[in-house]
Amino acid sequence: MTVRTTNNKTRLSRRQRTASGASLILVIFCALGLVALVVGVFQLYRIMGGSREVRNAVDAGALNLSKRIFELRVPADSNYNDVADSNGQVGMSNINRVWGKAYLINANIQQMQADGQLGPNGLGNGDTAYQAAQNINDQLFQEVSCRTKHSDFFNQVAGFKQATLLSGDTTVSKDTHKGNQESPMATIAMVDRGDESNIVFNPNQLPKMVKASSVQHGNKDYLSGYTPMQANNKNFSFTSFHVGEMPHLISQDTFDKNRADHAPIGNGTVIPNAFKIDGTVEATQGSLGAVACAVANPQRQYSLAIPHSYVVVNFHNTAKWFVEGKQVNQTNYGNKPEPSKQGVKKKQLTTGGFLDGFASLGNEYSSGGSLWQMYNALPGDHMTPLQKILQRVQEIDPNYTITQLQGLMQKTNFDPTVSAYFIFPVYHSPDQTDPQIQIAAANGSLPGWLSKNGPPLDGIQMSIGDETMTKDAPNTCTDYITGGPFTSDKHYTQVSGKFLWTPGSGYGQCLGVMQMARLTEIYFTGQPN
Amino acid sequence: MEAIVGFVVIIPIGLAAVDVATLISTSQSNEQVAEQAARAAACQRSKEGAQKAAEESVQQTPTSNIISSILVDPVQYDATKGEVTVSTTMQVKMPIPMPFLNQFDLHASAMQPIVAFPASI
Repeated sequence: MTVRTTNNKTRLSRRQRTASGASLILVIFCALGLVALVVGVFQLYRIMGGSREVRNAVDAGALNLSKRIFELRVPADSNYNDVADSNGQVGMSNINRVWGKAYLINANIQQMQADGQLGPNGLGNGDTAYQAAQNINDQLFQEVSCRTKHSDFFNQVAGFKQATLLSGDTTVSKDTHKGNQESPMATIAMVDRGDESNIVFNPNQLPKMVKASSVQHGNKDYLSGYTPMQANNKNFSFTSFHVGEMPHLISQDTFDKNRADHAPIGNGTVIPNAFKIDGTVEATQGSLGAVACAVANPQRQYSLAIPHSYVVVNFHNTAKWFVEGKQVNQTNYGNKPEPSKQGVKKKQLTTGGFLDGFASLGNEYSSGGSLWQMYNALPGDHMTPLQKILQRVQEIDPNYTITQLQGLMQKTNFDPTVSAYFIFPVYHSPDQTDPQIQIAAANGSLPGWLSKNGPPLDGIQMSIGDETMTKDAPNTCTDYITGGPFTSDKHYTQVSGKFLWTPGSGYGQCLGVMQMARLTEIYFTGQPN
Repeated sequence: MEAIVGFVVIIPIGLAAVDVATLISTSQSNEQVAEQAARAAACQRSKEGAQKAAEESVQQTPTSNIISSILVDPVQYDATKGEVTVSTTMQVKMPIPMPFLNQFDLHASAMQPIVAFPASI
């Protein structure tokens, strides 16, 4: 029994020791487990946090790229100096201005062709303007689709946003895996297709034959972005830039649907507005990467215009002298009254005697005053030709109105010694975006860029309207017959005018010449009065 | 008795783990708040506007028994470099207060490129 008792005690104490050991082990394991859990959670936090830091860095890098991409610029062709920036360069912010000018030139040529007024140089000028714009575009495309440039802009910001939760090399950088890079065309996209570009226009400023695809936004018409449109059988495409938007991130899904390699537009060198970029960290924990896509926006709008261009209004007066139904002389007269101009000298009449014919010419200009008064010197419809002039002036300033044009002509003093008047813009902004339309006589103060002796106009002159013919007013005639049966015959004048319009495409600055061709026909009938 | 002693060890570790998890979580939140505030500030054209935008952004993050406040330090708005840096200070109260460790100030800062300025002319 004793032994049994001893054995029982021994068993009991063994059991007690065993239970105590089990608790201690459990406690140790629980404690270690908790510590391991904390360490594990911390490591997970570092990786997740590091991943977030990489994403944030890549997002910031992409935003920096979409902001600074506008700093990439190329020199403008001499044809496009007027739509270049203040340094004579073209970047993504003003490439649409270049295309806008090329579009207007070719729209003018298309209209001239339709009107039968296209001169021999017209098509060539259209081609040259288009090709020059394409060359600028292609140079810029090379710049904005360059991966090295993308990397530079990306690293400017992303390189400073370290993934500090990771260990090892915590710098977020691009181009870590050069072998895995997508083609440049996969990193650019044309998003917001069909939405507004940054070119504001007035539908009335375009020649009637040409209809531009447009989008209305805030009571303004914008040329549609990434919507191919045609003028003079040439394709034009403008880059979309939403009004009132800043550079911002977009989803990769949106980007991929509009990628240049998946969904190209035109000839494939249309300037993109969205960029995709990836960044990586080669940390001790492994390689962590992220991709971000961002849309660029210059936050600048421009008018569709040919900034350095002008329209000419000139006056040309002709007197035709007729004796007994036959024209015997043709002379020109000035823009002021010439009371007694002789046009016929000792012309022998069939009825006998010799006729000396005189006329009082230029009386349509006798009142003097403004250019507007002289434009309206003879009765007739002057508004239709004025609309023609206005359409061209609106190619300089799309918002210009007929009332403004009329007011400007009213304010311009008419100089009888000058026959040509230039309607041109003056700019104060360095990028020619604030046109102030002015009129000056040919011998007046004209801007330095205006080339009066540029290339010949690429249009052909055509009459687009008549002034009403008046008889014996405002110009009159008289004659003296010597050696005949009577001293004076029946005589009269007919005064009329034509609006002769010579269109210009704007390629050589001139958008057109409106000639007021006034004609005084002087008839000496040779019949007794 | 050993179990009681064991719990005396385990329970503090467990409670400390809750605090650590809280710190980790709030630290992540603070960094995200700073990032969002920096993005908001980057859309402004002046330092004052950036400060206001950052503060408004931060105000959208609700406070709680744990996050007692989030403050925006003066923003560093460098228009020349085109960058804005926003720093935030998040005051965190530990769910299980420990002696001398019942409250933490977490700092985070984020830098973003300023996107508010139009392209040069």
